[in-house]
Amino acid sequence: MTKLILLDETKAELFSFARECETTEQAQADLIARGWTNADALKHIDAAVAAGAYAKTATAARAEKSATEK
Amino acid sequence: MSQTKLTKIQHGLESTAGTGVAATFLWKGNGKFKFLDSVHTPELEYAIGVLGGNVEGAFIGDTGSELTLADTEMSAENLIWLLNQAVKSVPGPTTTFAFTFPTTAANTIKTFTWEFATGAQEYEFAYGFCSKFSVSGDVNANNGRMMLNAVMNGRVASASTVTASLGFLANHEPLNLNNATIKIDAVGTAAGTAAATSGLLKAFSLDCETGWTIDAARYADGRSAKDFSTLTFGDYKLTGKLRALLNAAAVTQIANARAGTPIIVQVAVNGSSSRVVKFNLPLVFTDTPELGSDENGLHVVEFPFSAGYSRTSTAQAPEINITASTSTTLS
Repeated sequence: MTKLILLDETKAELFSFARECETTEQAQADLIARGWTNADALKHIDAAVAAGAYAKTATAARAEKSATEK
Repeated sequence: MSQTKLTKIQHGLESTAGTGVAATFLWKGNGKFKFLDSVHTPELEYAIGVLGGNVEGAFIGDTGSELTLADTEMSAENLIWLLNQAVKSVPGPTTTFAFTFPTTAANTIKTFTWEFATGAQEYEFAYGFCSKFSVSGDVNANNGRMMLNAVMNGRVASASTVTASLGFLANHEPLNLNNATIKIDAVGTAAGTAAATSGLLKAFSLDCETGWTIDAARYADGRSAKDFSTLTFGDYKLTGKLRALLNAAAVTQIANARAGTPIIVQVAVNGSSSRVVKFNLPLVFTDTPELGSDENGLHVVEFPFSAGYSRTSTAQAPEINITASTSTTLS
């Protein structure tokens, strides 16, 4: 799975991800450690990405770029 | 001898809206009828020098008809007839009927003449259309039978003789939620793209106010019957409920409900011989579910929702997409 970056902590919390899950890889590991199947975890992360909890890589990259340029 | 039910309810497709025709099919279900004739009694209501007022002097304000079709088995076939007079005119001949809810301009719909009989008198009304309908199914109630009810409105009812010897719609097959699937996508993805989520959906209901009403259709158009003139669309409203087992997939939807994240849901109810009724619904949950409810010892959660247009590219409106078992023409 493509590594995505935490964008909105409040939304990530609604999806019950720990605050320290900075990337979707960590979120995936977090869910699996809590007993979720990998398939359920991936679907849950997809929904969190759709809700804007985690940024798509390109968006995150653009955000980083604009932050650096300021 | 008396009978408490309407003994027959039947309908015929009008070629010109409001021009009554003979019915062509029997409706497979019960119903109740209400004359929407508003009686005004000014001599009872105003001071006229008589205690208690006079019972004479009544007049009729406006008129109309309301036929409430009670819960009956939902089939691809009866939905095709109903949605043609509720959502969109799709007369066929075709096998797949896409009843797409309108986005920027009102759809056109078909109108029907409805006939019904009691043990003592038979009646009919023309310009019949559907103002409300509901579908529902629950795998743990009613054996999962998908049920359908509706409110039909029309012009003033007149005493008449119903068309004799009609049959039911051909190929009517009651559908069942046990033979349904649910697919959940993010907005921007066409309904039904994801793989079906198994072990989740317990019950599904959808209530529609079609946006077609008698009141919106009234104009000063010189109708001596004082019934409505031309159907006019207001706006539709689609609400409903999903009941689900509280599992990992439901947790995702709880998060969506808490975040107000819209999703695209497809509930596809299958029948035999390629029959399928797909409810394609861009929706947002309107309330968060309550935890702690049980059904047969299982932890279940209910998600009330409102469906509407999704503007995220690829944009989509709600649609009820029906595939019949054979090429079908509305008549």
